[in-house]
Amino acid sequence: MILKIADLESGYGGSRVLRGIAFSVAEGESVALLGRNGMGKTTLLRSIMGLLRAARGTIRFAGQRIDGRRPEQVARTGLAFVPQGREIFAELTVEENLLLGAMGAGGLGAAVPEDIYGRFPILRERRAQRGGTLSGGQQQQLAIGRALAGRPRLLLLDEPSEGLQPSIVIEVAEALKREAAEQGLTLITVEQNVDLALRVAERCLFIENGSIVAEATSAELRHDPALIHKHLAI
Amino acid sequence: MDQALLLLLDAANYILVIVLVAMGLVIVFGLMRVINMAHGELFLLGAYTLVMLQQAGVSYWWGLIAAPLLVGLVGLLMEELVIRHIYHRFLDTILATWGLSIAIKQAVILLFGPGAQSTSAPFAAQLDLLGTPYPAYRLFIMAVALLVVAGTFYLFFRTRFGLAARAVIANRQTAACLGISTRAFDRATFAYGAALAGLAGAVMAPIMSVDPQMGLGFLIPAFLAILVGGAGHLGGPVLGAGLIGATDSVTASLWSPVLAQVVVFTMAVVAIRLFPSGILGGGRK
Repeated sequence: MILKIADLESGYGGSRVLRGIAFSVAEGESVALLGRNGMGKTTLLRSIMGLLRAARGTIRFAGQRIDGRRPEQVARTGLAFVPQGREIFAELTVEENLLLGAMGAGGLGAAVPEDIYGRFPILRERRAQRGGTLSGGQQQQLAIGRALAGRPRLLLLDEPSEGLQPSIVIEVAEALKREAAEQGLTLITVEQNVDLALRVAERCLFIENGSIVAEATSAELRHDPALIHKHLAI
Repeated sequence: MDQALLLLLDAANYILVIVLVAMGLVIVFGLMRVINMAHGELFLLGAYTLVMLQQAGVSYWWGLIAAPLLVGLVGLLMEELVIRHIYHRFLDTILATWGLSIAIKQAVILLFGPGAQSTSAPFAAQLDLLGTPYPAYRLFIMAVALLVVAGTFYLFFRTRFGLAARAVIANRQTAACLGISTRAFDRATFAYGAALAGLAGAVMAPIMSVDPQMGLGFLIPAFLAILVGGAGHLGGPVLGAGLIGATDSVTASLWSPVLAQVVVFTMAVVAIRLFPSGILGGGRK
């Protein structure tokens, strides 16, 4: 198990958003976290990344405890995070954005791995352009490329389909799947878009009121969508 | 013609030193959102480092090298012992750095007394500029300031260190999530900003009276320069210092220093009214 979370409680200020989260992810596995808005999906990713301090419980990554560490320390153990809204550096060029991803993991002298441009050819084409001038789909590719430039072992994605056209959602999903298969990358994707989740993930976890209430493989869910309706329908 | 040339040179001299002081303030503010009220006292410490070393018989040149190093170290200690514990509480940082400024000033008074000290320039030559004699040391000050300002721009816009620092300035959380150590950049930039002030103090000391109140005389115009030029870009203080410094020098020499103060403050008020976050903008929202 590359990631092992036990009894995790976390939240903002005094309020507990996560109430005893527990799950494990195997190396190379792709897992989707599904649930309605406000159920704690983003809070969970932010807690793993160290942006929120866990009030209780443990988070282990590759055997070592990472709860209580600062985000930069968590990142350096091999995690990368593509936040909701992408958060690319709008004033910096595409190349500088990618370079920062590489530098965060490899130090000031690091270079952008060539295969990032191979996977996202549009980023090579636009490498000298400022990040803020890219379209939504290109910005998402840049955010993912920037995270991958640090050669993480585990990639956390928060709503990668948000604000994207359906055709681009599929493109993003395929790029992620290929990356995971070729690099042995482990993926945890938070999604509202069930289509993308089932495309990328082998296993789906349903989160409700800060706990994991059900899980199923994507194959099972494709045959029997009842679980999806139960946990996601309004 | 001679008058105009002298005026131009004196104004350029003043502007460049204000830029040195203001740049340190802007870098620290951009990175940590901390307004360092003790920045003027870092200037003061730079000047007194030179005083102390010259009194001990050490040459001016060693003083000029020692001042930014020593004051940079003081900045590092300030960051480590005080700022880092409170940098997310904006008002507290103003109070804490103000307290530090008083403490540093009193320490200097205890060590050196309240009176003015004097230092000497390494050379007293007068250069002949189109028939007008001009102190060579003043040209030296300009050269040093220009070099350091250009070097700072190079550091922030042409190096990997600068790229990472700009990323931390633009979005601290995202930079941290990429693995960039925001703590290391806080430390490094605070020390660098302090060193700039220390260098400015040391290089200016020989042409002014070194006393415990001298820091304020540079802190206020530096703040005005940032307000007018904008804190979101390194060019902000350069533009602001240019406007403030030129207005001040011209008015002071044509009429009186008192009127110059009135004009400068009026100009700052008007500029802030027209450009609330400075002419070049305030950057991060």
